[in-house]
Amino acid sequence: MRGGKNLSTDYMLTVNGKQTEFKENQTVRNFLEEKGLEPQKVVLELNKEILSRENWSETILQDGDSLEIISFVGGG
Amino acid sequence: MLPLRGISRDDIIIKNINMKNTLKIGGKELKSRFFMGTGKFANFEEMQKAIIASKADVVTVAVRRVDLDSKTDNILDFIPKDVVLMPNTSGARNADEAVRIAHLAKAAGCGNWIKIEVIPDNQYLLPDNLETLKAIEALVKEDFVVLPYMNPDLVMARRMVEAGAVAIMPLGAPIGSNRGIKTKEIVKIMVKELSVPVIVDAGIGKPSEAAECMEMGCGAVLADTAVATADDSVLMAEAFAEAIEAGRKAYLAGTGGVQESASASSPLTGFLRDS
Repeated sequence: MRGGKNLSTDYMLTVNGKQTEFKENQTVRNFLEEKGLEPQKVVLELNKEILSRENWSETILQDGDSLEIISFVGGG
Repeated sequence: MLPLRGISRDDIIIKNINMKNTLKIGGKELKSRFFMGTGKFANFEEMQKAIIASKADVVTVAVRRVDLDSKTDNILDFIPKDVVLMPNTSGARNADEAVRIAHLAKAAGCGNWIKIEVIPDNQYLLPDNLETLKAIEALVKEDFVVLPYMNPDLVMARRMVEAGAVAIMPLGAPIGSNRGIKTKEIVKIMVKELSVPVIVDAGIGKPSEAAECMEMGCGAVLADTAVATADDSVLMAEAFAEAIEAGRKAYLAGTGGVQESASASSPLTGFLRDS
């Protein structure tokens, strides 16, 4: 336990390999919106499983989750 | 006075029955035999113009992590909706990683085509044919339309076709090298022996090289670097489109034989001399 720190902001998740803070009871969709991402343009993997778009509003992020946010880029 | 020559070009209409040919892949009829990549363009606007100039019906993209620290445009906004999107599995070093990337690409909701690319080496970017075969086997079962990028090899290509690959994409030279069709002899054999289209992918640096692939009977050519890094990528896209069409026409027309000695175009008699 870290002394003096507000526990409600102490939730960490790994996003694209980086440790990132998130709010308690935050849904995946809400997290994406907060990051300024257009939901239609990205694909998600939550803990190595693809999370289909229909489930983003119901899925609540958990401490220690690993999230991959993926999109298309140029390639040959 | 009668005209010296009786016919005007407008008098005769040539209908070339041989040109009624389309490339059928994965249930789609493709009018263009030019597959275009989208990497390395200066910006998306230029890429978009090049795609339109190329008349390509199939366009490749790659799958990557979103950079949360920098806001960039989304490439999909610049790719016409009537082209087939063929994501590649670049970044995959083995079959499992390729399958994972294919799943992510499909989840994006842009169709089920996938170009399998499994590359364990970063210097020459040469593909691992065995891992590629494993990825084909897994993805065909899941109803993907699978086009493998591979190191030219007839036996391996046959196995890939048996596993369900709808086309085979042998490399002409290392990716992005613009060195041309260095693997010509093997690719020729593959064209002759395989029951699916052979699409030369990687290494094609100039329209003339793309035309050469098509003259050999390849089903299509994929180019990216050669177009994207040209001084005028839009004009180069158009040049590739024309070269590929010309090469295809030449293949259908059947090229004349090659011989060591000359063969005069006019009779070797009736010369204006006495001896």
